[in-house]
Amino acid sequence: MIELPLLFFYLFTILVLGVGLVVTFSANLLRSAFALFFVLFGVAGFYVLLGGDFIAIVQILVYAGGVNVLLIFGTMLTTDVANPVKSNLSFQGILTAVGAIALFLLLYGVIRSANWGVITPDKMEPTTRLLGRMLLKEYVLPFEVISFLLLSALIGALVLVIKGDRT
Amino acid sequence: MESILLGLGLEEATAQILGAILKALIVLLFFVTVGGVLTWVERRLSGFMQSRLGPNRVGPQGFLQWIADGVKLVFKEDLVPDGADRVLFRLAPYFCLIGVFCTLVVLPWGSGIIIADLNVGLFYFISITSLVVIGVLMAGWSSNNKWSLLGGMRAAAQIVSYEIPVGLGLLVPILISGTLSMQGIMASQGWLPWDWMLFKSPFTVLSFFIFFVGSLAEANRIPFDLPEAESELVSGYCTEYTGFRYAVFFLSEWANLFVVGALTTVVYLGGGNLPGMISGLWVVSLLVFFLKTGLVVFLIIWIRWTLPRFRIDQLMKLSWKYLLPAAFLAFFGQALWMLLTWKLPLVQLAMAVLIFLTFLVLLYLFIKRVSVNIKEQKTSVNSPLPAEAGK
Repeated sequence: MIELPLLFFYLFTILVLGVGLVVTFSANLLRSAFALFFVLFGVAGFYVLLGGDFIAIVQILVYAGGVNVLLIFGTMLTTDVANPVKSNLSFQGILTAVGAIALFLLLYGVIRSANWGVITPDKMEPTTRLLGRMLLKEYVLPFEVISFLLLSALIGALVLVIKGDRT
Repeated sequence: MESILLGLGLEEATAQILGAILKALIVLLFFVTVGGVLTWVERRLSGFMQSRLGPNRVGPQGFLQWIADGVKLVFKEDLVPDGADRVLFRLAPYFCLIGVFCTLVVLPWGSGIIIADLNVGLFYFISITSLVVIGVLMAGWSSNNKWSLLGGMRAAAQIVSYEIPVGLGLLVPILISGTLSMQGIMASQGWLPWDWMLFKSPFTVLSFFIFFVGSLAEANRIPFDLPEAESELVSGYCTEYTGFRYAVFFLSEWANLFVVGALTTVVYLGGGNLPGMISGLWVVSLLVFFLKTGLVVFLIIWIRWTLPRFRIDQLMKLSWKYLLPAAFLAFFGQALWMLLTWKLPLVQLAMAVLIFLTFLVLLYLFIKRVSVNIKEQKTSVNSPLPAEAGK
């Protein structure tokens, strides 16, 4: 007797880790960008297994459908991107390694010290209603602050790319 | 389906997996058939609209043409162009296929008939189309051909920018029904036209318009068929594809036509809702659903063979400068309207009936005008030219 959620958990783990390696080690930048799509999709699978239906769809919509497409767009518009000798240069190897290890340790520490509220599968229920209530009642101030921050970032980006006379 | 398999003495997990595979197969068969039949429908209709015949040789009225086409495409050589990225080139068509195919999972075919009534159904519907974007970009880039690349870029830019007005436009029905589940949205409407989402308030009409235009753009249909603009880009991102892979692209495009029609039907036109006394008859419900979907699909085909194509800057302008503000207007307007008429269901009903009557009057005027046009035509449609007729 196999447990289906466990089976799917292993499948998604293999997908995310395996394709993640392709993203990291592929010489062709564009292939890395396309492979990243699978990683993001697999992460959405984890969310589904955890019972976060809404967040899983947001993951697909925002990361796989938005961020990754923009990333591929940017990569495609780079000259000679298919040529690894020109496009896939690594700068500052040591500094990058230090940064990556520091980030990993930080994340590891946070994950280890966090208090994870675990729910059992039979208590899983739709999260949309609850999320909406939380965002618009209890956490309305952080929500608005983040919206404001994003809006100003959007306008800032627009100002930066305006060409010509800025009178 | 699972209960039948469980009855056969299978384990629960095995039964679940087998059931899922069987359902997927059934939907895949439907997908292929509907995509194929729609190519024939479109070609015949376009022939009719352009005073020519269209495919009429294979089978009665040429109905079996799509099978002949399919067989021909399957037996053609599967070419991979020199200098193409072989892996991505081979992978790309399936992304498009899966992106459209997965949407069928949450479509309510009638009341109670649905494969998976996800709690976030409509949201899933919008997000899963991102697979199509990736597929199109992949096809465009890996073909190593400038037309393909331009087509792929255009398609991706178009789909990504029209996703936003479509999503915001769909917020209005979500606001009214208070749920993201497709069955829930369908159940919040009734079988009478003024119970449909489309006629509920002026803002739902606006949101329908935004959604419909945006969906046409996402489905790469004229007037938004820039990615494949034949006169400019050969055939866009599918230029280098042959045989089976080309067939897969085509199939997903026409199946997408059906999906757009079905989504419009479910969200705005009442889906397969039936009057209370015969609500148990799922066959009738299915028929109603297919009838409405057919009408919407006909409308889309009609638009394709009537309108010219947009330019790329006009396309972007329409999305960002007109549809997006209009979508915000529809959302805020609907929210205000709901607040104002919260305790006045009669006012809501009166408004819905009024909008429906206006629609009927407009339809009547349109039909009248068109019939006058047809009568006054010097050369009638589908008849020999005057010179030939005189002989």
